[in-house]
Amino acid sequence: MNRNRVILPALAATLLGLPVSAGGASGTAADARSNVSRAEYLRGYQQRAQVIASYYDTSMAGDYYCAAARYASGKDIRTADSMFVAALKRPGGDMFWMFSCIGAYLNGKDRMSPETKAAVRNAWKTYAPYRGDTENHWAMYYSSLFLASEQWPGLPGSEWYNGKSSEENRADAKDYLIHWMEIATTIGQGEFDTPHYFTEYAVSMSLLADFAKDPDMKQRGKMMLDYLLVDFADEQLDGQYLGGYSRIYQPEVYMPITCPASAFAWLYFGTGEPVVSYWVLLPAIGEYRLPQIIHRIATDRSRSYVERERKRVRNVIRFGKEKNPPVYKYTYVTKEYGIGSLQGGLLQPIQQHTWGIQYTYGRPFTTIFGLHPYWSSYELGMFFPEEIKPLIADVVGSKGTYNNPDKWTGGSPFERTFQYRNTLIVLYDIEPGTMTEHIDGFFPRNLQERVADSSGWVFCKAGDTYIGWYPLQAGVWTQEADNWRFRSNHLRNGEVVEVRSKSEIGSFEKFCGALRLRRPGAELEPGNVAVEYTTLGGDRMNFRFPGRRTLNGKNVDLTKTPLFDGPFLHAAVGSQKLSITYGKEKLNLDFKQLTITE
Amino acid sequence: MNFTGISRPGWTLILRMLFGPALALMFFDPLVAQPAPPKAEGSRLFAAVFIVRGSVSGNATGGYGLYVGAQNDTVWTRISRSSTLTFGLALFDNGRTRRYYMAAGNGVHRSTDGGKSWKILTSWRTEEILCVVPDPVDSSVIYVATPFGVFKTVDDGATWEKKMNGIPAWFIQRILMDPRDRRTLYAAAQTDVFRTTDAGEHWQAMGSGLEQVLALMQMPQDPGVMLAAGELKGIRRTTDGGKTWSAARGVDSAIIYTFRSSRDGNEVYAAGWKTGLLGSSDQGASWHQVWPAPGIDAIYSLFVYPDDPAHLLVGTVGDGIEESLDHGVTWRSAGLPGTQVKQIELYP
Repeated sequence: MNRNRVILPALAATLLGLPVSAGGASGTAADARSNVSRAEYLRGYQQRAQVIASYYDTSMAGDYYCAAARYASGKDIRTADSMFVAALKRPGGDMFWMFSCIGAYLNGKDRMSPETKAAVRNAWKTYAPYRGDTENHWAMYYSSLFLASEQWPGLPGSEWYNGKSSEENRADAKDYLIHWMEIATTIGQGEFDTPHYFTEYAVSMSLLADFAKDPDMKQRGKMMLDYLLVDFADEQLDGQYLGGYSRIYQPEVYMPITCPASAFAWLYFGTGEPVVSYWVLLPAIGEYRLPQIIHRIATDRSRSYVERERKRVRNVIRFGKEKNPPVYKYTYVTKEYGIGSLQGGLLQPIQQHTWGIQYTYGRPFTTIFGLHPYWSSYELGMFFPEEIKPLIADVVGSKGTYNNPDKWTGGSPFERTFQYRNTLIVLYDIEPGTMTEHIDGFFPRNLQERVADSSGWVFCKAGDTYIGWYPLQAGVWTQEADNWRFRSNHLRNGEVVEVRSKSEIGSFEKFCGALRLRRPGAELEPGNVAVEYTTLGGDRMNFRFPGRRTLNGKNVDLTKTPLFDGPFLHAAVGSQKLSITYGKEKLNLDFKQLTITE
Repeated sequence: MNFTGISRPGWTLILRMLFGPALALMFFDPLVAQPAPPKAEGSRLFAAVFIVRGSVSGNATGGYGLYVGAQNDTVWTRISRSSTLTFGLALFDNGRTRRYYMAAGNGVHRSTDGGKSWKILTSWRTEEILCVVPDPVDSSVIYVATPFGVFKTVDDGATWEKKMNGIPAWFIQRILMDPRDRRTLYAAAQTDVFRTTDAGEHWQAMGSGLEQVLALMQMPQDPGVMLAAGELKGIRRTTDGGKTWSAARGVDSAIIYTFRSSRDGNEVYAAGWKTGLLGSSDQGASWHQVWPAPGIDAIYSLFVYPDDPAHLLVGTVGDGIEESLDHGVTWRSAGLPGTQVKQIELYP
């Protein structure tokens, strides 16, 4: 087990004094209800934060987190000092080192020994971290550098690893962070909705909110943390991020509850499994508290809803006409399941998750999804500056599944989606000669039912969630360790997916019976891939690859998608303003004025 | 021309100080860009190590950056900080001031004390530097190629300005300064080779017929002959300063990353993705394989000793530096195993 992620069983959580609801999913906290009072919520939050802090302030692992937790609690400062100094003798990890080091320092600077302080200062002079090549790296790098430069003002460049003075470093870091916040709140986040990398952004903003001396940056840190958490909250179910993601790894993609973001869901929302992770240690010992309205949004699943969002592709450096093309995300959320999708195509390198269904039944295998497993030096050349041909070998060195034809992550230029509420159409028009000429579907083995019906539909039952999957071409089922794989070896291909819950349609038999009456009409010729389908709700969807979508005869124009549009969140493209509403409660984040109004 | 170790630009500055710029111009044209080639004796080899095989951002084994080694030795010493993903290097040396530059993931690094200390000159807005070209006369002027365009500073790195007027797509792999005129530069870009004759203010496409241009070279003795190469279209060549281009023979669809020639230009080398080492004895008009480079997927950099054209070095994609003393007939490791070496130079 990863020593940095400890799942607390319900019994252990109870013994630790952690309230656990009787009726919710295993581990879900008692305050994971939208109607709790502020006092109830804060009590539950404090207990969860204490579980995390007490794990690290007694751990002898000897890293920055153990030191930070001891400084925060005031326990055993001498041990904290010795751990900190020992860790500083072997700095490594670039921007990951930066935030953990400065996080420990800021929690302990008033308690640590002068020798420890000197060791920290010296590390920022002698260890030269790399700024990285993705936006989560830069969030960590520049937020940490900003905070460090505030702590040691007035120093010349010779006292810093990069030769820049304290003032130069502070100005550069602040400029980057403001730029990132502006672009995220105008055309959307680049590494958006990532169950894996959510944490890097959240911790960076948490540190700014807690420790920035510059009042503007402190306010920006708090506002961006609100922004990130509410973006997660309304596409979150039982601790899982829903729908399509910019980046995720295997095996997280088929065990969504194991993603690092789920540790934040448990800490802040009380949903999902109790998880102790170093990713939430610094927030857990910090001062930031989640606005109550965000907690209500995270936990109220009394009504189903559609959430539409606009994000952006990370920086395109080759083969593009636009540096940050738009991403359109559509998610349908219920109390039992969520189904969501990105529009398809190459939107992120390597780890894109274009669409999926996640539900509350059967942890940890709580998802069904499909993909065209694609890789190419062209894809990597779009996003990385190195010479193109050697890039695949470089990437496989760290992300070993990238060129595996059986992989479960990644986008494809030959895949497009069209979703309306809880119905999804996915089409593929795969170029002959592509590395893989098949598509795959992931079906967990722990499904209660998985029936390949003579009507052509595949019916699945996962607790109270029912999934119907209509493959447009024939395929073969293969049993694997955790799942069934449905593979179809046809270049023009696709599937129609319908999801309903017991509360929406009644029995599983009724769901299957209704779908048996529906057959998608498909055209699957070279250059002519299209589907016509009438949903269980009676809506007519027409979808022609790659991007002609009509609903009940009307054109669906994705380019009109706002930054946020759903029952709780509203933001126009370019506005730098996010309006959060829950009933009569409101919270407005205005990044132009740097104000939070209720 | 080189007098007692002071380069031509160095003499220009001395004359400027003694007699003013007008008289200095009578002796030397300050637009001339070509610094005197270094003497091999007493010089050291510098290698830009981009990355070590298997390393990952945030989980790096470190060990990459700028390395220095003695000639004819396999021992290399890193003189930059660790974790400096280095795409290239450059030298400014006017006889009074010597500055080393690194083109790196974290920006442009500069050392004015022989590599003992380094300063990053760029802000976050100018990162992932693929190539750095200092003006050979004015140390406050530096050009860089980045994935987001050409940038230039005229105040020694305090501020940087994007210089892309005339270049439609933003990825720039390399910049080359014309040895005859330091206001003339060439950019290896996505859609063509581009030329500026006003120090980056305006660029014109040269009609090379290439896309995704990766490598550029002018013949040292005849700068009107230029070679360019990119993804999949082999090597293109002009002999009239870019008015007309033709395909070189023997490299129809090769992916070429780098060129190098002997000092006299009689032997020209090229290499790239699964090409091995290619050679030409007619200024790049036709090519043959000198060495198949077995087991080496790509060669990123080449070096020919100025005093001994039989002595070759190649920087590989993950096998460090290989060395030949006999025009590429036999080879041996020259150190830095496991590394990707993007550039090799001999500097004083």
